[in-house]
Order: sequence, then structure tokens, then C-alpha cells
Amino acid sequence: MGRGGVLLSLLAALALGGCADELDPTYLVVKERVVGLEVGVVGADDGRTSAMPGETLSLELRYGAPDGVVEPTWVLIACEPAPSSFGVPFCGEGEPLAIDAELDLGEGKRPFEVTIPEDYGSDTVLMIGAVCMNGVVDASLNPSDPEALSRICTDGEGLGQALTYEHPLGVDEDAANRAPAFTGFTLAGESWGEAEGLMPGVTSCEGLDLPELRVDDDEVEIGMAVREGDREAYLQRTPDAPEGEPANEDLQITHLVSAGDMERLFTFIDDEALEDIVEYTPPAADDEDVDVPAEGLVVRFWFVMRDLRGGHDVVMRALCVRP
Amino acid sequence: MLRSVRPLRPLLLGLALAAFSGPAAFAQPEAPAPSEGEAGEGEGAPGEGGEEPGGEEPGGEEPDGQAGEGEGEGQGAVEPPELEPPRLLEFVEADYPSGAEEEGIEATVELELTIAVDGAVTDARVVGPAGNGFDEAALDAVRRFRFEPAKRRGEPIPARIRYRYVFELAEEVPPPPQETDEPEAPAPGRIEGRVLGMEDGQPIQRAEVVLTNADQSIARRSVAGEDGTFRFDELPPGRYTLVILADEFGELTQEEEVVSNEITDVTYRMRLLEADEGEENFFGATAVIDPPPREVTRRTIPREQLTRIPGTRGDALRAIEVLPGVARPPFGTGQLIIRGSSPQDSQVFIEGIPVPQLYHFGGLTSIFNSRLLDRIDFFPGNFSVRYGRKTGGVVEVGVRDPLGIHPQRGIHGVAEFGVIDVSLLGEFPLGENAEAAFGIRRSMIDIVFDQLVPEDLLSVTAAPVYYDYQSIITWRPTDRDRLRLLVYGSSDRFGIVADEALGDDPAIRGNLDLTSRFHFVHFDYDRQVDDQTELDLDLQVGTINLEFGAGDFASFDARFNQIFGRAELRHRPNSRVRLIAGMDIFSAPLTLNYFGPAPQQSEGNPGGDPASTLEREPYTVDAVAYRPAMYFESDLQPWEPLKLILGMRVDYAREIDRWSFDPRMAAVLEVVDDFKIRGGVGIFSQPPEFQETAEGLGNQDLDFIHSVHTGLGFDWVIDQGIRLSVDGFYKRLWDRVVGTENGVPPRFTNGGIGRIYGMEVSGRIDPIDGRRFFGYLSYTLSRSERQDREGDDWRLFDFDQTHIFTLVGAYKLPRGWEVGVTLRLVSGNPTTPIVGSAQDLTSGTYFPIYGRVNSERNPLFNRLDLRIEKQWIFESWKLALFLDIQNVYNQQNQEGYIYNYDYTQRTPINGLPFIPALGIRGEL
Repeated sequence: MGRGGVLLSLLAALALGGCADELDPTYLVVKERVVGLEVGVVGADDGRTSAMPGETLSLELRYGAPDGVVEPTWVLIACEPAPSSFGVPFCGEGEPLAIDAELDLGEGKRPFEVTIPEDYGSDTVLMIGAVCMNGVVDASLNPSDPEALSRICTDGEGLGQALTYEHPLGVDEDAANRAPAFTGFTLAGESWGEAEGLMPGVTSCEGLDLPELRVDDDEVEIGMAVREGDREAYLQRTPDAPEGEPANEDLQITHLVSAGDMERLFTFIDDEALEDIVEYTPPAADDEDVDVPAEGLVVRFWFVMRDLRGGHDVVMRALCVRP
Repeated sequence: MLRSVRPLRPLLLGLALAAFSGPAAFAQPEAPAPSEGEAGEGEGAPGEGGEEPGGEEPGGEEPDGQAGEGEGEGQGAVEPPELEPPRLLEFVEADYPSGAEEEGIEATVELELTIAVDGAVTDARVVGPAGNGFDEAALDAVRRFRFEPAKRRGEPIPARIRYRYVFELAEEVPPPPQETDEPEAPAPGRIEGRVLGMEDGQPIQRAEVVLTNADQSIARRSVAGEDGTFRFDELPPGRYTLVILADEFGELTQEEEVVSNEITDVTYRMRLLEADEGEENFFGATAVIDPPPREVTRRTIPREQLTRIPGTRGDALRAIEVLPGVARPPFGTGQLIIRGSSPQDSQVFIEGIPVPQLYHFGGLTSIFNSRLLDRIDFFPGNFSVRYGRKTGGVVEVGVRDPLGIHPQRGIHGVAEFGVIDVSLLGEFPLGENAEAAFGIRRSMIDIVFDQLVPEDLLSVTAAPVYYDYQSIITWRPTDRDRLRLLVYGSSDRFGIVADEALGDDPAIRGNLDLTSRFHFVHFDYDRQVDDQTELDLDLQVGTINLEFGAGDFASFDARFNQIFGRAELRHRPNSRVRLIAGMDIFSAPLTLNYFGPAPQQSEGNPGGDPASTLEREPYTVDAVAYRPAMYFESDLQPWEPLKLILGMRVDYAREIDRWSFDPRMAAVLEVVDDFKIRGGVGIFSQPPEFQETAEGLGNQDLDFIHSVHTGLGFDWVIDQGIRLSVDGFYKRLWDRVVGTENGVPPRFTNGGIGRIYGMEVSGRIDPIDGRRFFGYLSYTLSRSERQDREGDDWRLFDFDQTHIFTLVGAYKLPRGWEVGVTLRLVSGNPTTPIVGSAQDLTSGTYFPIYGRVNSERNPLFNRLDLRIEKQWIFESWKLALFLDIQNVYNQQNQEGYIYNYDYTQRTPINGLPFIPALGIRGEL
């Protein structure tokens, strides 16, 4: 049997006997995690993400946590990627473009910046590193060493996570990529704005003006709108057009939530789906993993949009689930 | 003292006849019953018609010869049998070994004779040696025998028989007895009896019954009448041996006591055989003399048992799984993992032609109808130079001739309906010298698949659908020629539409589709050039089409137009030497379009990178794989107990412009009766996989992969039908193709090595002599390791399984019931632990970070399969209902782990659950 047959046999076995229900769904944020990042060219006011030689890229990690509390520290290296066709990317033999670390728990949300040299030899820049959430990262660790990844945080305090990100650089301004952006959200057909006054650490709805749902409610629709023109045109390589053919970006939207169920993890805004509507189901009353207090539980949502060419947008929303 | 040399006619006539043609040899149930005299003449017997040394008339002692003076139990006239055994025309007296004569030693030598179509003995070997020079003397004599050849429907065919050569020192002729007052001889007795079917109690008509006494001085034959009765009158009191031969019921041997003036009334019940019971029975049915074993280790399961192994749903090719040396593939994926070799290092041949796959998707069903198979030979290593381009093991599937197992030349058919698939098989004659068969099968899975897959997850457009078909036409224009046309093919298609991304990887979305199909036409011409020379020509053309699509992530579309030719000439200048020369050519013009990530080393690479992180490229390849080869082999018997097989093979692979030279040798030493020692050593070479050398995809400077196989073992026939084999083996691999570090161009090198060693134990109990039970025991202890780069640590092979234990047993109960179980205990496959993860912020997915490759292992696999079958036999057809249950106690066998998104949680993923398969089969 060929490899394809093996693959599909495995798929069939998974479909017939899958047991992934015991694992936390990916969309469920049950612990601190990096939910995305935002990237921009320093000084560019049009949302451009394609840095030209001599320009400086700024990267800011975005975090999520059930209660919203994340105090990160990190160490990051920017470098030219080594040739590799699989596995975790790693730096080439040249000197890193930038090395930076933030070991102060209170300052971890500042951006990481890297300036692209005029004579830079690659069309991407690789950033690798590690973040320790609610703990202090070991600044001496080598992110390319698998053994080191088990001790990202010093003294075992905090939650460590290795990171990698490869960012495409620009060739000329006309072909530059710009970051997409959400323009609005709806919840059950109603406009859904930012959660004003919601501070990290707050899990009770008391004193907050949030849209409300009740446990065991049926699913509701969440709608996301993007800017017209965010699906930028570019040359896409396909089997029929190895040199590339004109295409518009697909926008990948990831939905994350701190409690309850999302219909799916990803949605793509593409030629066939010009808007993202995803269903959300509040937690059940008998859900042992969720404690809904009498005054209501704040449920946080993170919506992450990627154009897969270096453009990112991360937005948070919240609602209140009452008993 | 006078001496006489007497050929003991096949006292074991039944045995000889069975060896000649199988249980079906004398089936003529529609013909009128024979008269004794006619039957005796028609079957002939060694010694009959020949001048007997010493003036004796050995033919008179023959059971066959006795028939003419029989008691008249045979009734009516008979047409010539479907198959007729050879008849001895010229007997040659052997020289009595002088030393033995002087010492007064007598002996019996058992021989196996191969008789060509002209009646000459082309091969003779001692199967029951007597020593003291008797063996050599007997061999020398029988090689000069002349037979009337065996016949199939009146046409001469080659045959092999057992023959006993008896050396006796005759007593001096005593003077005529004087009239004495000694008492008269005791009054004779009689044996009367019936032969009935075990299943239905119906009389077995025209069963042949051969009676002999202990010293062979009395030998008679009778044929049962329409009511199944037979009778032997005027028998001196004493013990007698009765051998009952009843075409598809096989053979039964019983001891009976005859008492003076009494009638010994006996009833014999015989069980219907489904097919032949041993590999000997495959012999003699065609115009081709079966080549002798050319392998150190060849494992063959008799066809009749192949379809009765629990857990296989009656699929003969799935029985390979129970053989020692075969590892268990995960999830029942159907991969062939032989003696620690990768699946792509082993090859399945159908009548010498390589086929791209053995099983349909899921490994539940093979691609060839089991009931058209003649034999399945499994060579786990040290195989003949006839097979090349592989370094692992070989499975050779033999296809039988249409109607080859049926005693009646008419229309035969089998229809089988099951929950997994349905199949139809038909066989019929095409004139005097030609027959045809066809088979077709289609899956039923698609009908139930919709019920199993979550509706809200997948939209199924083409549920798993497979079909296969076979068509065989055999034509024998002359006694020496056979032409066969085989047309067969297989198709598998599986497709799903996923509206959204599957799982946690956004790249996997859109249609998932896999199509795998092939269609082959195989022309086979065999010619018996003369008594010593055979020619075998094969030409196969066909297409192989593979299509794979994973949404917009990857696609693969390949079409191979496979052409395979083989010419083999076999010549036996004398009985101790056999020479074989052959050439084969594999050619495959191919067109391939691929879009996706660059190919990587598959074995030893846990992979697991998120699809979103893999860079994809389009590749287009138009090329011709052209691989000619030549081989030479000699089977030598320099000394009676010793066989030597020396061979060499030269291969060329145009895609890499490299040659390989593979010398191989093997030896078999028959130490004592029923105990043989086998050994072999040889080099085996294999071209790299296509994607590893294709321009743009791989490295065109790669060389052949090489391995050396060494093996040593023994076969021991402990008792009749009970065998034990033990084999030790060591394999060394070098020039293994491995991926470059990080997959950078040229992506592949010949930098890997490997070592595999172990021991295999195989025990087998055959259902012979009325035994209702058959069983297998196989156990493999092995270790398979790889080193991918110089200086790397040795690691375990992906499918290294330290212990593989399989026990199969089946028991035939009364009234057509049969029950069987298969128990498997197998070490879990190695796994690679995940020690961390790295989040890819580009896509939001996570890279797994692995620990040492294959440094952990899944728990012990254990599974019990059960098969229950009930068969009804009607006058002209049979009906069977069967239930085949895989994993009776629904054991949750861990095959690996499923991880959560960031690899911080995991849960076992289990293999196939309890799978009952109910089926019904009708057989005409």
C-alpha cells in the first residue's frame, strides 16, 4: 500500500476511533498563551509590514489567559534563517540581526525591534526565542536546543513557550504587504464592542457592561468584518503557475475563547467566504471545568487575523455568562 | 540362496496417487462405475507388463493388479479418469549391494520420481533412505525405468510419484510340500463396509478402497458402489490396512481385523476437502514442472488452510500476517514489514510480476481473489536471484489455472456477500484445451461509511470504494505448451470534502482525495522444450495511476505505464544439476505532477510539522525508469543429502546510471530423515525510490541500496503433519538512502546503514489423516536498527517489534461447523517522545520538538480474532455462512498518541476496535 493509502487508513482510523475528546480544544484558552502578534514597520503609518532594507521592524506579542493576567518576560533573536525544508526553523551561520531580552515582569509587553541591514541576503527574517508567562525567562537558553525548552522559566515559576516566526521582507513599496484589520464584531446580530473597564484578573461580571448569555443557552453567532481591500493582490505560485499568478490573500481568522465552545478554530476569508460567522455556545450548567458564579462569569474572546504574508491583527472581546 | 529384487508397487498407492494429482485426480462421479478389470488396466501399476526379476510377477501383488481378480464389488463400466497416473512399462533390476547381500540385509528405499511426458524419469530422489548402498542402487535403477506417462483427459502430462524399491533376499526354493497331516488353513473372513460423507452422511460413490496385509502378500482393490458399499471376500484371518481414496474427500487409512468365518462390518466417514491439502498437490496439474525450492527459507501455507484463518475474513493473502518474520503494521494499514525491513524494501509478485500493492485501503482486503490463488510463497530473506531490486522480503502469489481444482470440467462459481465487500467468481471451459475464469469484487464500506463519520465534520463525496477484478484464460495448444492471459486490476478511491480546516492546522482544508488504481495485462507462455529443458516467457503491460489531493495544500498525480518482461530457461542436464538463466526488464515511463512540500526521509523521521509551516513547490517530471537485469542460478546436488544453490544477478538502473552485482548462495543438508539444515548468504540491491532520484525532487547521484542476508535454520518434521522450523538471520544494510540534515539539497544521500538480526520459530499442524485440527504457531524475536549518519547513535527501526507471537487454531466440528481463533501478542512499535513545542506565530500552529527518535515504545499489542463457519453441502453446490470477528474482546491497543495543540497533553490513539464481519458464500 502506498503512503497515500497509509495516510487515509490512518485518517479513517482516527475518524472511526478518535479519542481526542479528552484533550482541551485548541480554541479554549485554559492557561496563559501567546495568541498572536502584531508587526509593523517603524515609522510607516499605512500599516505596512514589509520592511525594506534599512528599515526597522517592530513586533509585539499578544497574550491571552482565562483571567487575562499575563506578565511575560522573553528572549528573542532575529537572524537570517538557515536553509531547511522541515522542522523548527533555526538561524543560519551569520551573526544575529538582533538579540533582545526582557526579564522584568512588568515590562514584558514592550515590542521587539530588528533593523534590516542594507546588504541583507534573504527575503525573510527569522525570529526565534522563548517567553515565560508570569515568570522570568532563562536568558541564557538556546532556543534551538530541544533540551533547553523544558526549562524556559527560571526556578520553574511561570509557563514557558518557545516561539518562532518568519517574516517576509519587502522588495519594493508597490508590492508591500499591509496588515489587515478587523472593522467590527457582532454577537447574535448586535454590535459587539470592546469591553470597557475590563481589567486583567477580573472574572466576575459585577460592575461590567457586557453582553450577556446564560449557561445552557443555544449557540449564538459571532460575526467579524474586515476592511474592504484587506485581501490584497499578490502573485501566488500553484502547480499550474509555478511562476505565480495573480491572486488575493486568504485571511485566516483564529477564534479563541476562555470558556464555552466555538464552532471551529479557524475561518478563512477567501473568494468563497467573504465574512466570518462562527457559532459560540456558552458553557453548560453541568460543565465541571467551568465555575459560573452567581454574578456571572466573564468570558474572554481573542480573534486573530493573519494574511499569511506578514500582516496580523489581534482583537479581544468579552461577554458575561450568567447562571 | 537366490536373491530377488522386487519393486514394491506403490503399496502406498494412495499416497503415490495423491502426490501425483491430489484428491481430485480420479474424480469421475458422473461416469458409470468401473469394472474391476477395466479399472485395473486403466490405472496401471509399476511392474505391470514388465519382466520380473527372479521370475516373480510383482504386478500380481499390486493392488491394481488385484482388481482384476476382485470380488466384483466395482460395478459397471467407466470412462477414462480425468487424470491417470503413470504406469511402469520397463522395470530395471537394481544391483543388490554386495556387502548387504553377504550380510543378508534387506531394505526398502522410498523414492520420489519425476516422470516426463515421454515416460522417462527426469528426476529421482530418495525420500526414505535405507543406507548400505541400497539408495544408490535404487536410484540407478529407477532412472532407467520407462513409464507410460500420466495423462490428463487422455493427454500426457508430467507427474511426480512416490515409489518404493524393495530389496529382498529370496529364500531358496523349498522342495514341494509333502502331504502332511497338518491342520487345514483357518476359514476365511470378510470385510464389508460403507464410505459416507462426514458432513451429510451421504454415500461416497466410486471411492477406491485398497486392502493390503502386513507383509504385502495380499493386496486387493475395490470400488464403492452407488450406495457407498464395498466388500472383500475370502480374506485369511489377520490384520489388514485399508486405504480409501475418494477424490475431493481425500484419503483415509484404517487398520481392520478379519476373523475366521466372520464379517467385519465397517463404516468410514470422510470429510470433504475444500481444496488441495499440501503443496505437493499443486504439482502435476499443469504442463509446467514445478521448479524446486530455490530459497533458504520458504514458507507456504496450504491453500485449503489459507482461507480459514480467523481474522482474515477468508482472505488468503492476509494470512501472510501470521507467518514468522512479518511484523504487524499499525492500524492494520496493510504494509508488509518483513524481517525488520521498510515496507518499500519488500515486494509482492503475482506470477513473477511486481504489483504496486497487496491490499486495498485499510488492509482489510487483498487485491486478488483468494479462490484463484494456487499458492502463496513467502520468502523473508535469502531469496532466489529470480527476484531482484529489493532488499527486504518477497511474497510470490501463484495463480491457478481455471478449473484446476475442480474434478469436473464444467461451470463453477462462487458468490460471496459480506458487510465489507461482495465478490463473484466464475470458471468454465473454453473448448477442449482451454479454460477461463473471472473474478470481481467491490467494497460495501461506502454504504456504511456515512453512518460512521460525523456529519457535521465531513462532507463525504467518495466514501472508501474499492474494486478489483481478475480474468484468466489458459490454453494448452500442445502437451508441451501452455499459454495464459491474465488481466487484472484494482482501484481504490477515497475522498472527503472539508468545508473548514481539519483539526488544528489551517492548511488542511478543502478536498481530501486519494485514488490508487492499476490495470495489468500479463501474457505467460511456458514451454517444455524437451525432457530436460523448460522455457518461461512473461510479458506484462499496464498502467498505475496514483492521485492524491489535500485541498490546496498538496496534490500528486502520477501515471506509470509499467512494462515488465521476463524470460527464463531452465535446463537439467542430469538429475543432480539444474541450470537456470533468466533476464527481466522493468520499464516505467511516467508522468508526475506534484505540488507540495519537498519529499523527506520517511523512515526514522517522526515528521509532524504543521502543514502550514511547510514550504510548497510545484514539480513536474517526465521520465522513464528502465531497469534490466540478468540472472543465473544452478541447483546442484553434489551429494545425495546436500543441495547447493548458487546464483548471481546483475541489475542496471538507468535513472541513476548504476550497476549492481548480487552473488547469492544457499545450501540444504538433509541430516537425517525429516530433518534438514538450511543456510544461505547473499547480497541484495535495490534502486532508490523514485522520488529520491527524480530530477528536481531528489538526488540523481544516488547509488543502489545494498544489504547482505545471512541465514541458518532447520526444518524438522516431528510427526506426520507436524513440522517445526527455526531460523536465525542477520542482515546488514548499507548505502541506505537517508535525508540530508534539515532536508537541504540534494535532499538525499546514501549515508545510512542498518542491522537486523533475530530468530524465527514456526510450528505447524496440518489437518491430515482425518485430523480435524490445524494450527500454526509463529514467534519472532528480532531487533532492527538504523544509523542515519556517520557518528549518529543507532536507533530503532520505525516498526521494530521485539516479540511477535501468533497462534492460529481451527477445528472442524460435526455437521459442517468450524471454529477457529487467532491470537496475536506483539511488542508495541517504537515511538518518538515529544519533549516540547515551538509556537509558529506565522500560522498559529505549533511545531513538536522531539526527543530521541524511536526511544519509547507503545504497550504490548494483543488481539484475539474468531471465525465461525457453518457449511451446508447440497447435491451440486455448497453454501457457507461465516462470522469473522477481529478483536473479539475489543482490546484497546495503543498505536500512538494524539496531542493537544501545544503538545502539553496527550491521550492514546487506539487501533482497530471490535470488527465483526458476517458473510455468506455460495459455491457451485
